[in-house]
Amino acid sequence: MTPIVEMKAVHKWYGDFHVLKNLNLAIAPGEKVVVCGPSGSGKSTAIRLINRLEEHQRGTLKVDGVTLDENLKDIDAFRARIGMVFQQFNLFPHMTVLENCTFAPMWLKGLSQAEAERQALALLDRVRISDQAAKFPGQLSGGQQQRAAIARALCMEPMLLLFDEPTSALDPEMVREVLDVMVELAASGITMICVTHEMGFARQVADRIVFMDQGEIVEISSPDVFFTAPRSARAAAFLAQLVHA
Amino acid sequence: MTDRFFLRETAEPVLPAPRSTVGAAGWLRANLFFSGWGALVTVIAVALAVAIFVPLLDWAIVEAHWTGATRAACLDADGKKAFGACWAFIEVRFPTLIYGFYPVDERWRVDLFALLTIAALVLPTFLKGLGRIWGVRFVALAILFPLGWVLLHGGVMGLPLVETSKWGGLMLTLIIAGSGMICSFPLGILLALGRRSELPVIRTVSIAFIEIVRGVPMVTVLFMASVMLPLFLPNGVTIDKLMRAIVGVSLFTAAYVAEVMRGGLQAIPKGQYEAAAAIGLGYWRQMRLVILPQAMQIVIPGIINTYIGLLKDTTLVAVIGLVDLIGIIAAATADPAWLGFATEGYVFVGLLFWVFCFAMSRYGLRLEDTLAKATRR
Repeated sequence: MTPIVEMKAVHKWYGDFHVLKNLNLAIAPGEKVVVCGPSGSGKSTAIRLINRLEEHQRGTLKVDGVTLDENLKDIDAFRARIGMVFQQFNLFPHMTVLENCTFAPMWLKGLSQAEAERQALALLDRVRISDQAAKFPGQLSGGQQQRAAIARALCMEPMLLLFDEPTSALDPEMVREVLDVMVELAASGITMICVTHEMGFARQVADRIVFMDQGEIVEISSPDVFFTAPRSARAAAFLAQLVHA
Repeated sequence: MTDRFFLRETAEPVLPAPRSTVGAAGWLRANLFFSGWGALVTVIAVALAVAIFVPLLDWAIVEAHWTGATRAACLDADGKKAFGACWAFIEVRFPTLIYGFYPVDERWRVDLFALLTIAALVLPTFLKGLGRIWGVRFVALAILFPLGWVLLHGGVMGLPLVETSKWGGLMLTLIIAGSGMICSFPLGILLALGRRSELPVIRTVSIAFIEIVRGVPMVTVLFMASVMLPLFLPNGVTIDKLMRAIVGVSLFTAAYVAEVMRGGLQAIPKGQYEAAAAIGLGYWRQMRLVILPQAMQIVIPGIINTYIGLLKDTTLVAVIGLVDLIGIIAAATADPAWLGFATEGYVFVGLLFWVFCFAMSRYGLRLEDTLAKATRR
């Protein structure tokens, strides 16, 4: 099967700083990949390469058959096929939760308002906040906002979902409700790439764990191997520092 | 000595607030006599207010002369100017102050235009849903003003032609200010976006325009528009003097609007741009649907501030020979039949300006409130 994401010898620099070093990774359609590692290891930057919120400077990166480089035409249509969930939710505060999920399909796909709302409500129902549809993001709890953001990421019917530390900005009692939604999503068969520190979630959902440190991919293992007997010393040291690994 | 461990078994009773902190006595104590110094300041402020406002009211209202067709109405028994404001002067001059030299029979056109403008500003408030979009008001005005030109200028559809040289007074002041606001707004937004553009040419042009225009006085810009512009136009092509003034005022204000807008754009978190890009919106849609609606709410106070400045700066059009509110009153006070009443004239014009500026300020607050209710950050 052709991989949906294929990184070959990908490098990135911020000025002189070499943030990403020789990344090689192929992800198959439907696969769930969890990216973990200490802060500053380049995980977020790496995941943001995939929808080109960040640009790499060397190597080749192909996503869903599209080669990401300066020749990429119509980057907007490309991005619409990838859903992204951010650490800080980044819901649009001037729109209701429902509008957050309807406006992209209406503007980009030309859906009628009624049709867009029907779809959005189905999505909001899936993340269990359809009762909050008419509220503004500022009126919701952090957990509800992040679930709304997941619904928004799904509104363009993406074939790939990116999660950038989706639970890191949440109060502890709200992490569960977001993770539950993500576990359900994983069961739906969509491809997921998730940067997270939630090792319980990783163990439950991930097909593979990608461990990064200092801009390198240090280890790619199945959860069984990674959590019981990591093959790299750095991963072992990282896991030892987690309280609830 | 309390125990180291404790478990509440009965709720604490709810007690009334102390007498001295509630009611009228409480309010006085909290606001006016909260300390020795507070009491002193209160007494001094009240004394000052009495010393200023009693004579002022005496002059402006109690002793004022309200009616009369000639100067004689405001003179005392010996034929000298009486104490007390001569509002009769304003009353006689009132139509000119409002309409300038616009023909009396055609003034209904000005009234109609004024009514339409008020409707465009107020009606969206009653439209459900649409009311919370500031753009609706702007678009209504942007359509209305070109139509207003046809209505006021005439020469078509059986409307007699009224040259802009006949326009004057409050009408002219408001038309210049209103047109300036409508034109400078989109231009200012474009300049603000241009200044943040990643394309060096667009960024440089925007910065150059903003810094050059902001760096010179309005009078210079008006002179440029009025005197220099015709030199660049081919022979035989003339642009109406009023139009030139409006262009000058718009360009000048746009530079200020651009800087206010830039402040708003910078206040929007990077995550909003990223979320909008990630969902597949291109640059213009990101701006129009996500960034500008949020930035607008932040910049309304600054924009209103700029526009209040613009309204007052329109008085400078006098230097290119347009007769605005100040021009009319200057002419009126120089009239030998009404010599000596300049104070009344300028007080009244000042009051008119204040009314419009204050109205804009309140309208801005109202708009902020509407948007805030729609966002509830």
